Amino acid sequence: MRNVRVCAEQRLDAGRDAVQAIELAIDRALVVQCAETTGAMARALEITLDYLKTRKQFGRVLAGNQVLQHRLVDLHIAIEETRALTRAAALVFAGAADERRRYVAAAKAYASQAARLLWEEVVQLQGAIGMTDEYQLGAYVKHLAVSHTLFGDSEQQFERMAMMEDRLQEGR
Amino acid sequence: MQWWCQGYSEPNAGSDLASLVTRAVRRGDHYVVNGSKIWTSGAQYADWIFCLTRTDTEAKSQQGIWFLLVGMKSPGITVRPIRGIHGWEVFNEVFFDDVEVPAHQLVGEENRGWTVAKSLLEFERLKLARVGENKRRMARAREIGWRETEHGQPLMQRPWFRKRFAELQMRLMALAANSARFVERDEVSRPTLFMLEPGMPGLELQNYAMVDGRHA
Repeated sequence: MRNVRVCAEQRLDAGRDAVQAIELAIDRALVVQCAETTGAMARALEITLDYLKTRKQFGRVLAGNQVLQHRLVDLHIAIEETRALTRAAALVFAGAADERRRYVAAAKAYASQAARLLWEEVVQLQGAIGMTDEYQLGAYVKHLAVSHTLFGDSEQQFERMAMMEDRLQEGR
Repeated sequence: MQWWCQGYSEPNAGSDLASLVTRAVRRGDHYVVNGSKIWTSGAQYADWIFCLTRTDTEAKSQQGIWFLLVGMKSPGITVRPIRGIHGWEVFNEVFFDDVEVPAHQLVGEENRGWTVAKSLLEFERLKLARVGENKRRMARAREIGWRETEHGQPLMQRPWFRKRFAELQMRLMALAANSARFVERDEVSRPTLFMLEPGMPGLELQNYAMVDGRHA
């Protein structure tokens, strides 16, 4: 842009208020994205479960093996904790801004880690079929891989949580 | 205030709780209990023990179990504390030698003890998440993080500590949020409560508490 003229009334906000408004909008998007990730994870697990209950090897269904059951349970917990934390984050928007930031960052960090665990595990659990393009799982795997990084992965969210700690300490 | 302990586990009945063998035999207006319990937390301080006993050795394992409330001061009860690796005596062995229990101290119906015990265990799982205790430990870790320094900086500003602290906090927040969902509901369901046990940050937070002990 070079010497573009913009009417004064086209300015929505400026300075500190503008930054905070943008941050609030991003936080809203993050919570929605966490909810979407939760749904995608739940569906990916559902597909995987169906497969493991159908596919037979060594004379029994794959889901009959305890070592696989344990892995499925871990995935289930990751999904449910993401769901709970996302819900908690959605409920703190009415309160103090820093509390909102802390919760949203924690929810996104958790969702990022869970998404990664999910997409890696569901591919592992289903073997080569999980890698084929025509199989429905692939769409969820790719979606989860993107949501892991979109709007900042867990490392970035941890730093955001740590910055809330810094601010808390300064306030003491 | 009264303290209660839980008489479930026996030397040969742990995860497979239904294989318990402590006997309760009806004699007039009371039951006579013989056998032993183990891993009974706080038995040495308890006023009462709620106890699973078996009456009918012929019945299928989950049946024939009665749920009895037994006063810990009853004649015939012996408590032997078991010293743990942390130096504390939390667990105990409890021995029953012809202990007489008034018949009205039976909870629920005869042979229905298993149902009572199971519903209590569901609440125990919720408690095992130890959200409050972990929050307190988190606060201690925060205190240490700002007090102790490395290369002239508070630990809280050192990258390795900063990240681990945030990650633990995230896990604790997830645990708390998940537990809160079950507290809000009127009823608890077993499969969902099981998930509160693994993945809890409790152990790692205990490590921080031990670090704190070293500095204290």
